Amino acid sequence: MAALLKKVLVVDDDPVVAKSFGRVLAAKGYAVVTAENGEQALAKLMREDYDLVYADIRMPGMDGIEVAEKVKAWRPWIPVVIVTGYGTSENEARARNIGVSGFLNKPLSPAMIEASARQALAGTAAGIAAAIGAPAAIPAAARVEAVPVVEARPQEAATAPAAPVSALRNLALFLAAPFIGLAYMLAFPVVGMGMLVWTATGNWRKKASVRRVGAVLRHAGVLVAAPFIALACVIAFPFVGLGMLIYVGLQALRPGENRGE
Amino acid sequence: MKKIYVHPLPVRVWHWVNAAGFVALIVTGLQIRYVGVFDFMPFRAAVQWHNWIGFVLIANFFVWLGFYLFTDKIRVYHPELNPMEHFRGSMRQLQYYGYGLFKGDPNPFHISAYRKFNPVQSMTYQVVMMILVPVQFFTGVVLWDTRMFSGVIEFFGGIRVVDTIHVLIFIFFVSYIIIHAYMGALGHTPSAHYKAMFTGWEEAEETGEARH
Repeated sequence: MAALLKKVLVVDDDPVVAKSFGRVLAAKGYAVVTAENGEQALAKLMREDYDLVYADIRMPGMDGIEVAEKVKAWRPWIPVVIVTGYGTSENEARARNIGVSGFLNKPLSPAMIEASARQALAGTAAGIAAAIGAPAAIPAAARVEAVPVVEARPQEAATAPAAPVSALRNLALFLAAPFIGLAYMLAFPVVGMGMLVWTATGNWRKKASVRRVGAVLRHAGVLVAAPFIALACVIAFPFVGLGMLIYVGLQALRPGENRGE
Repeated sequence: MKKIYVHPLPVRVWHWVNAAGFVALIVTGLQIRYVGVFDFMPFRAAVQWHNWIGFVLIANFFVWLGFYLFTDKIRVYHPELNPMEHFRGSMRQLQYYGYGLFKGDPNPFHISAYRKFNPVQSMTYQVVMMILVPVQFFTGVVLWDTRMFSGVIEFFGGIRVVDTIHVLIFIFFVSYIIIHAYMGALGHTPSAHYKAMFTGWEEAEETGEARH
């Protein structure tokens, strides 16, 4: 496994910075994916697994610490490094509470980027302790400040329970893949034709008269469908509700890793 | 151009053994199915070669399966669970293959270590590798010794049904190999994907983002 590529997500609205991460880390054998903002990063994180996240502290919309907060809530085992041009004690305190793996201070150098990735991925309590206790182990140019972890809980411990779940999920998706692929393949001619028609009629659909007819049809459709949708909700509610209760109960029983304790 | 390692050694070995084996199975299969039309080799030799190569490819399939089951590269074969995302991606890709490519548009799909298949490839490979190839192996094995597997053959509707399935999938694979070879030449240079299948490293345009 160690020989396989580690996947790094870089969240930065500055394409130049994102590109530097890509260039440096790709050359060192990491697979780098970039996101321009927090929303895009979280969408990617929902879709794919990552081994490490870099988040720029200053971004339009969601800032880096908010991104880290979300990552730590959803995927507590993923180390997050905050990239910052100006470290303030307030930001550091926020980051500490979230449990980020470190700060990376701009201006960045290739050595800093590489060392921070190595250090964050080493990620065990021992690794963090070594980084804090023996800064000489990190190249001098790499001014990566390891954030003292609030809890002395080894990051490995957070990873351990997630691993079998992830392996099971991977296997389940692998086994489901041919059936989903077949369903897509069978549906594709019909859906594809529909999409072509939709695209081809784009201008026509914008005409006022057509839009009026469309709106009437849509309202009529909703009116006809409403009782069936309501019935489906009534039937599904006990099952969905029970599932949600079980989920919430299980979340409450889990160790406090995603509650930022 | 940046380089991304997307084809690990076991996958490359499996791929080329599979490619050579499939060509050999097609040649011997044509000889067996269309005896009298083709005359590459004696019928009996064709049958024997076909059987042996078939068993080698079954073993080779388990190399592929074992590799993906026991490494995190299994994610390469994960399906896109959002149908609209899948269909939009497929349409974009088909538009590129059928139109954009000839105008010099960039490929809408960006390869990454865990997303090496575009939506069309992903859908095709999932079905090919996990449905069609196993079914072809299964029908091949029961046709190899019809006496031993007479019960199974009867269960599936008789030898004519099993043989028809085997030949239909064979026809599909012949077309598949031709299309696959053509698609393989659609990299940034005609030999780029072929080279990558030997070295493991794909060259990707430096877009700053390795989108899936």
